Amino acid sequence: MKSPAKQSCRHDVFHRRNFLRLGALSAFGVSMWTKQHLTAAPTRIGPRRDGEEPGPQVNAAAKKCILVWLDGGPSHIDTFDPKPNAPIEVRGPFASIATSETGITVTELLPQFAKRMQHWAIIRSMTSPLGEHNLGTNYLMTGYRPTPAIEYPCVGSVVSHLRGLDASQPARDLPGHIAIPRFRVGGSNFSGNGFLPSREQPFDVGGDPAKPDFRVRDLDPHPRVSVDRLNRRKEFMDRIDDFSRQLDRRPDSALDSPYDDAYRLLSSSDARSAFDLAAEPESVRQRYGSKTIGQSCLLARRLIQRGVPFVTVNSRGWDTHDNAYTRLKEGYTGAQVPVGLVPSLDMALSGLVDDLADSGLLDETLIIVMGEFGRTPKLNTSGGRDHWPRVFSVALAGAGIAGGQIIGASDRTGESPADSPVTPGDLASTVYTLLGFDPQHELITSDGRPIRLSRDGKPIESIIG
Amino acid sequence: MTAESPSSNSSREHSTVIFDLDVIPVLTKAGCNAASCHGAAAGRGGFRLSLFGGDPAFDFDSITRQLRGRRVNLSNPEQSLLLRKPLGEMDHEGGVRFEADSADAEVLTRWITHGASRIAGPQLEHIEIVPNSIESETVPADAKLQVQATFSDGTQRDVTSWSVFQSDDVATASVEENGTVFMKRRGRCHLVVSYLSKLAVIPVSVPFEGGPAANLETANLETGDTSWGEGNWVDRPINATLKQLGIVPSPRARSTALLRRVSIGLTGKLPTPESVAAFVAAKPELRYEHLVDELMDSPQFNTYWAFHLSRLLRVRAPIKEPQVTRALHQWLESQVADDASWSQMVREMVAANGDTHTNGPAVLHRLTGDARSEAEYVSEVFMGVRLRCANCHNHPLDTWTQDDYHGLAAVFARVRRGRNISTLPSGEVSHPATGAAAIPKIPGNRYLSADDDPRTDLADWFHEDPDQMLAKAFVNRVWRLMMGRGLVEPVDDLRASNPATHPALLQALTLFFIENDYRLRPLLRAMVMSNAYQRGGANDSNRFDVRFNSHFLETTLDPAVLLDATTYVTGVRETFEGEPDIEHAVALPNPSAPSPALDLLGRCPVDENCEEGIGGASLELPRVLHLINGDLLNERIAAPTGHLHQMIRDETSPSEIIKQMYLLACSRYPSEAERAYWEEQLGQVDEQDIVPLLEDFVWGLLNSREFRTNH
Repeated sequence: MKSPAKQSCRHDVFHRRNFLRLGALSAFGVSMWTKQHLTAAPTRIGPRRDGEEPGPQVNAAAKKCILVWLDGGPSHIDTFDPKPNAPIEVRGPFASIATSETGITVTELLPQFAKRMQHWAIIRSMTSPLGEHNLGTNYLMTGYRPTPAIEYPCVGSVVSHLRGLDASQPARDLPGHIAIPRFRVGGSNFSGNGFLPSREQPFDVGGDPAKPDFRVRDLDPHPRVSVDRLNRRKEFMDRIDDFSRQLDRRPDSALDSPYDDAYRLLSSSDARSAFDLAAEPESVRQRYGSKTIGQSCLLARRLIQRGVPFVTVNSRGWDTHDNAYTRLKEGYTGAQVPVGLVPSLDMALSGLVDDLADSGLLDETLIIVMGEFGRTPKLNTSGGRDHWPRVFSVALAGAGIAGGQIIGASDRTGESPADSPVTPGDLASTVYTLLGFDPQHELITSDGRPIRLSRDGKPIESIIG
Repeated sequence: MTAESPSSNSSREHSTVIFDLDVIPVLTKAGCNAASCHGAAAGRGGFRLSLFGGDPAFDFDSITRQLRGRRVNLSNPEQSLLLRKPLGEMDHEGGVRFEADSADAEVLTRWITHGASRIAGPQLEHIEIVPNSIESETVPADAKLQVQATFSDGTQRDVTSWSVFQSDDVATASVEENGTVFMKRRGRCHLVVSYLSKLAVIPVSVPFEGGPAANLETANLETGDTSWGEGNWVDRPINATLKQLGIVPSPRARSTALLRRVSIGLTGKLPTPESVAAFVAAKPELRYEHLVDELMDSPQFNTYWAFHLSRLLRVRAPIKEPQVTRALHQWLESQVADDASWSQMVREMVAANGDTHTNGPAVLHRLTGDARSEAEYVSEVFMGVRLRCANCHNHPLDTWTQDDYHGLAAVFARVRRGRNISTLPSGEVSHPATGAAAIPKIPGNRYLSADDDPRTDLADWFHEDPDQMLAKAFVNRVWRLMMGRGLVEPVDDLRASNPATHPALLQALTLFFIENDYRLRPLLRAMVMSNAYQRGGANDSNRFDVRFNSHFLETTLDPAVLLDATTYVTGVRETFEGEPDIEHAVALPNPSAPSPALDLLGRCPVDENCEEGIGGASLELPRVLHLINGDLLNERIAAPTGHLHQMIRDETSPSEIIKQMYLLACSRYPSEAERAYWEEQLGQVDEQDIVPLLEDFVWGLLNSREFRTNH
């Protein structure tokens, strides 16, 4: 086993602490937070693990990724893959509409999306065998079928990890994978970081960005504690840890102290201001719609603008076993203006695509819209649809992808893939490739086991171009 | 696919093809009846098979009678869909499964030629794998597995070609479909081999570098501790595995570290400064053993293990009547105090009736909402198995059938739920396969008479269960609580295809527990007296190991224990909503009672079903931010009523305060180097900065690894 990286890592830790200390003593005569928050010289993101390399970087267009996760599994038929010619029990209550691309239709609940179809590629032949939330989520999020032997990391945490190892990337004070409002996906405690260090666990923003009093908890200093003291506390804690490590002759394993990440975030007022939605003009906020998913997408845009490589927007409530009409369209019974799941998604996605296109960020940002599976072709007796992993849809935009295209197809009733089936492994491979990572690159687990980014997946040709 | 000339023996002595024994394995091996294909609950492409061939009668019907019999063509066997589809001669979503000249095709053809009937044949008795374990000194290396089946008529044959092979860790060893094993890296993994409903697990070991030459004796010499021998019976299987894999175990932990570890492990509390002083002063030979006795006799032990039991029982249902959780908790605590038998406790709970405001055991039936969820609950909590899958389909590789699932649900069908639990005269759950009422059944065992209350029979049976599931599931969970990792993980997924890291140890612990009448204290004593429990933390040579107990696993303190420890060090008590008299989180009758502090420290959210107890709460960024900026620590450290400010008011010297705080938080005296460091720090500040400095020191202590982990 090799361990030469250890010395340098240790050095790194001391180095960082010195920065904070110096930052507080020299740059600030004033010791209270009241002035402007802590500052610190930028530091390199987290230390490397033994012998690990960021992997070959393909010169890819995309630097960042926003995953809009539709938790619970959205109906493919009622969103991106309508079946206007199928019998009513399959077709469902919604009509389909033409889009900006001739020959492509989507549900009538996505009028804004339809106008921007030139930006989007829809995969209509996604297929997975796993129709249970937890398992399906695991598979879609990681690209690996879940197994009890090892916990795989989600794509977002892998991207964050690899970007952090990449010396050519600018220093980063914000976490590399942020979840809005929180990373509770698939109905269970799926950590996200898998076998990667716990610092790669997605950072939960916590609150609902659509609420007027939205703020990230505990980013503001405690009134009693000054900058100097905050730095001194960290210094003391590190000393105590050093002493007890010597006492028990433990190896230096504090390579990924979450305290280092926390201090880095607190030190950067610019990083913390990324969470301040109130800084956006009202006109921009309205573009995204007033719902949680819309404001979450806006926050995601602010975060990637500040260099966060991966943001997961987690939209809950897509497990529509009953009352699909109300849940998907109206939002509440008898709504004058529909505010259900799909219209809210429509606003959020159109706001996001427009905003990114206007600011020139769309080409370097990949947007993924998906859930853990689709829903049954036939409506059930409660007016909903149940789990259906055999075929479903995923929408992609940005990252230089050729828009206005449909990949694969489902059959007449949206029951099975009719053409070019795409597995979650293929999708993960495609995403890694678009973001500039070779899917064959190997990550190393803590016990030294090499695991490829994607084992069986093949990138989709017409997307990676 | 190249089949290993099975023709000579696959046809048995007679050339008759037996559907259940010959055709089903072909379909299984080719993947036809997998969950992703025709084995799905809804079938695939209109053709449905039972999952992994669990129901041959169903499959026979599906193949020969459905689709107007077009799947088999008796007059022209080659035209049968059963052949043309997998051979790729017709459009088949699943693609080509085998070739025309394969043994698979030959068996199917011969079966159809002979009339595609389902004649009775002998039963499969067992399978034997040669070799039954694989070891190699080097990698890469390969080996070959052979599978021998024995049938009820005494015949035997090689069924290697029809067996399914899987590795639980393909990075260590992979296995081809013909049974060839490739060992790729050092370590240990397991191969699961299945043929029809039988399954075997083959361990594969490749010792780590340094090899078997690295041995335990060397490790023991390093410590200079003469009392540190080969350990007790718990250590034997562990030592054997470590030796085999060439992993050098860590020496015994520092004595005060051990004091802290075992105090937390048995009582959930940090040792007092007085007990640290007494322990340091006591003669080394027997002080640890005496300490263990003392801890087990303490009232804190009863409180703490009642807490573990109520979490094991998932007392988290949002019950609005506080009397209910109190009744259960009181009962659990008195049972622990009496060192009651776990099997007796389970028996009482499963069979209980009565007022849940006063009768603790009856509360069990209020923790789930209906018979089916109670069946799943009982299987996971008491038996450590996931019966859930069997709701929808038989699962031969996991032993459980739909009959088991719905039969167990039927056991609870007559429970009248509500404040008063009673047995209704009638009540049923319907079996989805037949539509009729399911017959009460002990899973994997026998049907029960519906005349008596079947709950009593189930409760009695736990005692007679030949697989000892009740005991096994419990000892595995207790091992996890004490050692940081279960011998089997996840702890509610015990099955033949999910082997333990030390299988012999799990067996030994199970038997020991049963022999000691399912009592907690003897079990815990055996664990904490083992060397495995008393080892120090990881060193450079064994830090990669998290499974084989070569060192003690450092885990984050349980949120409740951490909150109590914070209370203890700061001297500022926590208040719990609705429980004004309770000071300690581990004493809460309802472990999911509202508590922002516990949520902040990473308690499993009430609406999620995490298996809790240990190491679950890793230190995530939001939590760290709260420890830095939030009230939890800041308010406590600065509280005028807290220990720190009290000592300051009493004019205790700063050096003495530092010593006391080390004793409280780390259960040890500061070292020479530490004292010097703190003196130096104190010397550098003005008089008025002494108090803030001490506050910052306490913050540092409360965030140090030594404090926030069990190590």
